[in-house]
Amino acid sequence: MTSATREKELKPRVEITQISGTEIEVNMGPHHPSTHGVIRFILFIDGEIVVRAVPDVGYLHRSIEKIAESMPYSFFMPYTDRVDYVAAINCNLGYALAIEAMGGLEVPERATWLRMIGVELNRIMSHLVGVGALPLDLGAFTPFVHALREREHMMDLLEILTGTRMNNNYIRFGGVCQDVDDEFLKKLEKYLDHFVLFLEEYDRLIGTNKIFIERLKNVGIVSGEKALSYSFSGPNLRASGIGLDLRKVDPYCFYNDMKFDVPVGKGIKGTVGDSFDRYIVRIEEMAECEKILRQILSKIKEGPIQSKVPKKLVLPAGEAYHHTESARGELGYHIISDGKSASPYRIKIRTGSFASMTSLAEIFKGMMVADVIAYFASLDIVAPEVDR
Amino acid sequence: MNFPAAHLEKLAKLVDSVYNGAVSSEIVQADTKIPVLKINSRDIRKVVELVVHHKDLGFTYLNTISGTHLAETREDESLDLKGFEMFYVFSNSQDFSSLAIKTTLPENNPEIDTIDDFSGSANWFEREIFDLLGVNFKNSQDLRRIMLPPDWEGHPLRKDFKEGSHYNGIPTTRSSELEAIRIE
Repeated sequence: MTSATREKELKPRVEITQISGTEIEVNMGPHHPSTHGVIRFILFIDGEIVVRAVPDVGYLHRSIEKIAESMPYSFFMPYTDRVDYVAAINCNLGYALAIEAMGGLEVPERATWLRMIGVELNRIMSHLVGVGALPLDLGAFTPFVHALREREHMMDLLEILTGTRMNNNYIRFGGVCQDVDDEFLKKLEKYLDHFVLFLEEYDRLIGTNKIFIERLKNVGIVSGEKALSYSFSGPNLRASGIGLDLRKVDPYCFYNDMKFDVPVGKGIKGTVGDSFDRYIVRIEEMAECEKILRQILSKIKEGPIQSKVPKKLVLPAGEAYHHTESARGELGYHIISDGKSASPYRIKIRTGSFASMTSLAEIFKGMMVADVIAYFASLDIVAPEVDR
Repeated sequence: MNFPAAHLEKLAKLVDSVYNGAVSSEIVQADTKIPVLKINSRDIRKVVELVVHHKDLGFTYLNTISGTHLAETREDESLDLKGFEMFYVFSNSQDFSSLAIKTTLPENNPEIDTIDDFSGSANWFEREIFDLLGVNFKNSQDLRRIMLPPDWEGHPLRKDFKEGSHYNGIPTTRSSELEAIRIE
């Protein structure tokens, strides 16, 4: 591509100076098919161009952080599922690790492997929803059905592993709630053989589709610097070319021993950090999850799945900020214990979706209304995680 | 990766040398994996400026801002209110080592300078604390409620928060008659 045509492509499709100057206020949401939950935008548009946008969140605020203060530590575990219901085990893990770090609780080896199986399976499921809902929002229904079909198989696997298909409540302090037999591990391995084929096919179907590429490339470009400023994390940050993955830089569980790459956005169809990069990073990340799962399967051994944890857990006075890499980026738990009570004094949950939302008002400026949908869908935001 | 504890002492010295003792700072070795720098709330902008922009530090990534209402329940079950604690977590954008800055605010009229010009996401984090804890961020570009409706009264994460009996004419508690039917 010559530099002249490249420059032409990078220019907004309509010059912002050509617009009429009459502003119309349009309400989008909270019940909008593309907002995946209840999130509202107030768009001030001039023709097809967004002049100004005001995101409005909080429709799903359940005050989970306040609820936490009224119950014992272990009772809060099911609530963490509801922080991000699409990647529930990831939220379980972050909470359990924080409490275990504060209380100095041991976790048996097998329990950690089982946790990692749950987390990585859940990550793939979550990314499938992300890359499935993206074409859905752009008007293509079929890919979503394909993605959900695969997610359905994984839910069957999770049902064997955890006992439930969603909101798993799988992880306990010092272990997991139930063990699996070898048959499950064989089933998982067999499924992974199928999954690599599916992933390749899915990316071939969607990722090479001309309309899909045109709708996403050079739309909603977030440079690496901007992404850091907006506290992006997880796939959204990596799509902007910054290869930060907490599993690599601040390893927990056995991620230190795992061999996997951190995919970053390279701007293969347009510019680094555009919406297409956020799509392709998720596809590549699913392939990495598959690699990790295979390594876990080769290393997992028999053993206990739960260590001794006091029934009434009182943590020593103090605080901890513990973060893990969830499917939507950094999931941080800031927990304060007063040392006397069996319930937390304060829990603050830092989520990836909330941080990604902070970019909207500025990135939406000057966008076409249809691109607003494309950009928002590419961020893979889950509304309950924003509002908590 | 975590910010090594030895560097924290350097940081405290750095704060001291840059501001010639005008900024008070103290190292707290919390049992978190993250080291905590305790400062006076009036110095928040100076310290944030230093950790974000100093060439040896470069903690440009704001992980989160958290706030806590400090209160102790006395034996007669009344509350002993002690003010607010703010907890800022920053990370280095190169190696992602983290650092926390902690400061306390008074119980009456808690106020702190905004840091929303240092990071694009700070405004939303601050708005959440303003909404749920009622901490006022001075000179903020846009300080509105974020989670709760604009006409909500009170700040739920305060320890002495009492929910009103009605919100916009809707009762916030279950009527006992309904409850009786449900149990039957």
